[in-house]
Amino acid sequence: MNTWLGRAYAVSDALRSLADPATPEGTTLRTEALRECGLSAPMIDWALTTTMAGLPTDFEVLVRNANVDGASFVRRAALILSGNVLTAPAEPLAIHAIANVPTRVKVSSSGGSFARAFLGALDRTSPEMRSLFTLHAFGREDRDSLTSLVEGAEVVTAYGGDLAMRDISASLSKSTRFIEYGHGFGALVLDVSSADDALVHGAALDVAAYDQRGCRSPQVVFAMGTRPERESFARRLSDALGEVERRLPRGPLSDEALGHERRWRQSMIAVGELYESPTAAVAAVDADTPITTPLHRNIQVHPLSAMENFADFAARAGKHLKVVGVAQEHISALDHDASRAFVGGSPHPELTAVGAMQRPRMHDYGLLRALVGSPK
Amino acid sequence: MSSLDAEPRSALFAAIRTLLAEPDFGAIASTRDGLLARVLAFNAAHVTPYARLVRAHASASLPAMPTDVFRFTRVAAHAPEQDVRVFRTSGTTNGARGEHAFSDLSLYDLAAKKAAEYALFPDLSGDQMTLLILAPSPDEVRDSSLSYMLGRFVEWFGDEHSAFFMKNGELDAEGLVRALDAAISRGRPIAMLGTSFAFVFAEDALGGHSVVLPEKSRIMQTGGFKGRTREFAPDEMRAMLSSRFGVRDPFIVAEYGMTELSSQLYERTLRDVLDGREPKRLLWAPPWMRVTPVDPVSLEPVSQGERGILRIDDLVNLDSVAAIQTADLGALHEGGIELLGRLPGSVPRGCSLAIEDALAKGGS
Repeated sequence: MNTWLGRAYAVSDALRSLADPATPEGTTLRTEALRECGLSAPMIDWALTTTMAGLPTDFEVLVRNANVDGASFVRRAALILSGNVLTAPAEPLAIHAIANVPTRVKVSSSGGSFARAFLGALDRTSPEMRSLFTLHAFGREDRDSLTSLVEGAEVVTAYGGDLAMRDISASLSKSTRFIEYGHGFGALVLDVSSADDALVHGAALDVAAYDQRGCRSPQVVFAMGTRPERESFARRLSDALGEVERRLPRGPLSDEALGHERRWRQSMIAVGELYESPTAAVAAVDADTPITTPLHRNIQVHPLSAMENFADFAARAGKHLKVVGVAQEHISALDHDASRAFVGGSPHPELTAVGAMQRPRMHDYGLLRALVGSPK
Repeated sequence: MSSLDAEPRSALFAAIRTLLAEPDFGAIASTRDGLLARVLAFNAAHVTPYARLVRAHASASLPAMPTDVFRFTRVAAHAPEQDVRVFRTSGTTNGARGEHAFSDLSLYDLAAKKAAEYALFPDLSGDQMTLLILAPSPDEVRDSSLSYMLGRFVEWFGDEHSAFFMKNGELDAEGLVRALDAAISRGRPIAMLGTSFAFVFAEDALGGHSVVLPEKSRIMQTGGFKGRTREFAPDEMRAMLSSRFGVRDPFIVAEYGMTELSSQLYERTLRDVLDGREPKRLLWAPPWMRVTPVDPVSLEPVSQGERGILRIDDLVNLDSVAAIQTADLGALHEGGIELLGRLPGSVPRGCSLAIEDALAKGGS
């Protein structure tokens, strides 16, 4: 597979076979993911379908715009996937394959269903590309295996928590390029005084997707509007989450997680107005700073009096704030006003339309350029 | 619950003060629950966050206020201008500290003194003892409930040699060594009281300087390590303290207190030994407190011996909320409460990061 587009299409075919429940790979992945990731079967199906929906276009755009012609390829890379929810490895796996770089892939000792399924599907669409990858499963404490994994790699890409990043970074030689994608969260910024039903339902989908456990999942709604308007929005969002629940039920929770959820909800009742159902809750609160939520479809609506306040919050959160969901018509204005205040030219956070926060575009030019050694 | 159901604060204050003065613990315990209901009615009428919680509560029993709420909003029956003291928690990852405001500390003082007399100083009988405090003084840290309490202990139980040995976050190791040597030369039992991490500071600082304190000397340690030192399991910590200071294991007592409460619990071993009983490594709750392990989800009491998160009712919390829901795990046994750590926080978060952690890490 010697052309960029040829490889992109082979990867697209492999990924789309995972999205299709009728294929052997799609069936196996659904079965394993159900056991592994704690999401409900309809949510797993939704996640696979929506993630793969725009793939051919995404990859074509990626290849055409990345400006990597004539680049010298990296000879070896390592990709470390830990602490992800289901489809998060799709983009880095795909880009390593498209870049045609031999890659050692590390998955957590208790996870890895997506990576296994992807390599299985790639074996069918392009055995040659499949042979670029070796898969390794070991725990975080296994330093020897980590050292072997990254040995000789010119580029190491890692997805995971900050502690894991620190350990990985410490294990690398100075000449190794390290690309980290740490854990994070999303936020919604909405004018709730004029929120129509489509906006509310879009926000509900963003909260419910991946049971709010993704790094793009919103944990707080910064709401412009009066207190009654914020409370009304919170109630409508709770109702909309109830509707999403019928289509995409929440996965099962451990007693421990239910205990944290109960504790948070009790606190929110005391602090503000809570609108709850057994599987979701929305709290309209007036605390000085957004409060950590127990996730699993529990979110807070926080007052936002001025965009400067949000910019201050974004600066404090830094790179950990991955995505900000805004009404489609506000994206340009927000980009202009808010982006200046974001930290030091950082690409984060990404601004995206409400309802699409959990549909990442597979456009990581930075990763692709790193893998092909492009100067850009 | 309307304010019409609630008695005036003055009547409740007087009732609690009278109860705390009662020498018979059995009599206190038998009166406690009725008075608790009256205090909670007062709280529900005058403490807005608690009123919200009560309104939303379905069952007949009154709910407990989660400790987290003290971080998010003011939990007080009085206006801020009436505060005589505000105690603050030692801090969380994003710096949002819980606050417990008091308009009066006299009930706090009565309760603290009475509990300490029972569990820490039952053999003092009006006499005084050298107290070496491994915590900051209340003058240095005015918003620490622990420092306040230990300052009061010095006034009530301490002799002229008593002193504080943590200053500006550092241990005055030389001063401590001098005070320990002087105490040994006087030959009278002393008490060392402080935070767990300060005792680890002492362990590290004292190096080869181990001492054998006079017989019946005692140690009260409290709190966790808060990431400031290496950590020890409770039995390892006691072994270290016993070896370092020559204090017998039952005379090493853990105190369990929290900013959101006004009363303290103590391990009962010292009292057991002095009373001639087999020492039990369980927490003793003063009779004006009621400790109930509850199911973390239903918040209903669990059976005796079963693990639950501790709901603590404390009559002395008149000006905030007398029913506090902690995240600490424990089990109720004959003779006391077994503390079992905190409700684990490591629920699956996928690749999401808690907001407060993100803000603590900042742009780094």
